[in-house]
Amino acid sequence: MATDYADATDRTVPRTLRMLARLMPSADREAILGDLLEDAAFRDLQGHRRTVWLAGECGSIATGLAVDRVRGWVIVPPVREVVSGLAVDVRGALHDNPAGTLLRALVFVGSVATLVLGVELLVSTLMSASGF
Amino acid sequence: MARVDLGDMEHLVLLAILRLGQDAYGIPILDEVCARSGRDVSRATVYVALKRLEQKGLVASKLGDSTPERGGRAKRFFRMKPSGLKALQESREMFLGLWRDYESVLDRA
Repeated sequence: MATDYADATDRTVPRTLRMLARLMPSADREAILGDLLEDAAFRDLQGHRRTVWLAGECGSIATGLAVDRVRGWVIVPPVREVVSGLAVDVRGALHDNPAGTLLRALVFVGSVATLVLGVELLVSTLMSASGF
Repeated sequence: MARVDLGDMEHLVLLAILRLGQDAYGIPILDEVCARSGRDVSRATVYVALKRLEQKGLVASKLGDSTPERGGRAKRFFRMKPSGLKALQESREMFLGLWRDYESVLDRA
């Protein structure tokens, strides 16, 4: 039965709505879309008004969820917490195997320094070759 | 377990889920939040709050039945987890503590 409903109603789901719905996280998409269709039916919206209402609601939900997701990525923890977290990690690492940890740290710093020097050398060679 | 801070909307949505019980899915939650808070809350705000509550582990959701007007799409029902109830209790305690001794000030205002 569920498939029949889907087949019957998908034809009436505006293309704009289907496109906007793709902006939502896939796990939430179908349930939210279902809520919107149910509410549109409850409000007895038809034709152009229904399309505009659905697109507006879908767009605002997709935007809200996207903004919230991005906000989760860009929120930087307070410096104090980062420093204390690093201190705890470093203390733990040094406690377990100090020689190995120091060696890995030296290799890491050495690799980064080598990369930086390499890039600088490459850029200066290219600049001098092109006459700057 | 560390204390979980609840945002204003998260608080309202949790209370709506608690009140709705078995029938807590998107539309009734939105209606309940609007009716109880007296605010014109947007649908997007409620879905964002639900997402955050789920990420914080305060509510769980499962897919339920569907109706023809949903186009065969299942409803996502939300239920309060014990951690959600605990967060609400702690929040209530905190606010009661903050308000204690200030009722008379408000009455005079």
